[in-house]
Amino acid sequence: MTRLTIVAFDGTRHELDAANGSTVMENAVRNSVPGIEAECGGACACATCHVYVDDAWSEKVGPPAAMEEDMLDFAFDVRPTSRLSCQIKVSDALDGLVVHVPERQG
Amino acid sequence: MRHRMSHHYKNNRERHSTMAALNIAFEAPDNSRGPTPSSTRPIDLVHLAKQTMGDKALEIEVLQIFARQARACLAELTDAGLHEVRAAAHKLKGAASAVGAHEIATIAGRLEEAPADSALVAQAGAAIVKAENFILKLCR
Repeated sequence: MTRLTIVAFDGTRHELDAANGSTVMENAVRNSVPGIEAECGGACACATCHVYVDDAWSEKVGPPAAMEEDMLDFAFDVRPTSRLSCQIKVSDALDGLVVHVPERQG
Repeated sequence: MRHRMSHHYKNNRERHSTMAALNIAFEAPDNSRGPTPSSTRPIDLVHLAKQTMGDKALEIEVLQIFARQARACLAELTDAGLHEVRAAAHKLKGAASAVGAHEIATIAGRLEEAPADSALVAQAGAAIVKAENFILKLCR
């Protein structure tokens, strides 16, 4: 189990125990974190699970892959730390990860 | 379902190296009540991902075939008799529905009902150009 914090747009911190191998999106949806829609269910075919990786974690999480970048083009208010949360897999290396939910999806 | 998927992935792992991210696609919870911005785009990629079971390489292949087919249909719509226009519109409607080009499918459906309506042909042309640009961007 890995600690994962998803900060909703209103500032509410959702502190979750995430299973290694699960995605940040899955954990957000299962715990009803507001603002993560995940229309495509994790197929990297939409951009409705967009999050900002916390600055402290951005480097460790790494940049998006090419196909994820294509989808991020559809997202609202994309920033350098933007990622699709369905493409971030939880692992021991990311223990304590913090991501922020944007104002809206798409 | 899960068994079939893993079998599928094993056979295609080499060919579709970009699929790594999709392993979780069909184990994730469905978003059946949320907003669906994808359905308003020239190609509904969420619809397409379901059709291809998340196979990105296949999606690109299918979209390129669709772009060629749509272009050919458009040529048939613009210089053919009413019977041919109706047939071309029907073909276009089916092809568009399969890939999730909802706008094209809707216009083609109307055109099938009213094959003499040249304004609809113009609308179909505009929608096809939009979809072509969308596909082109994904193929870069």
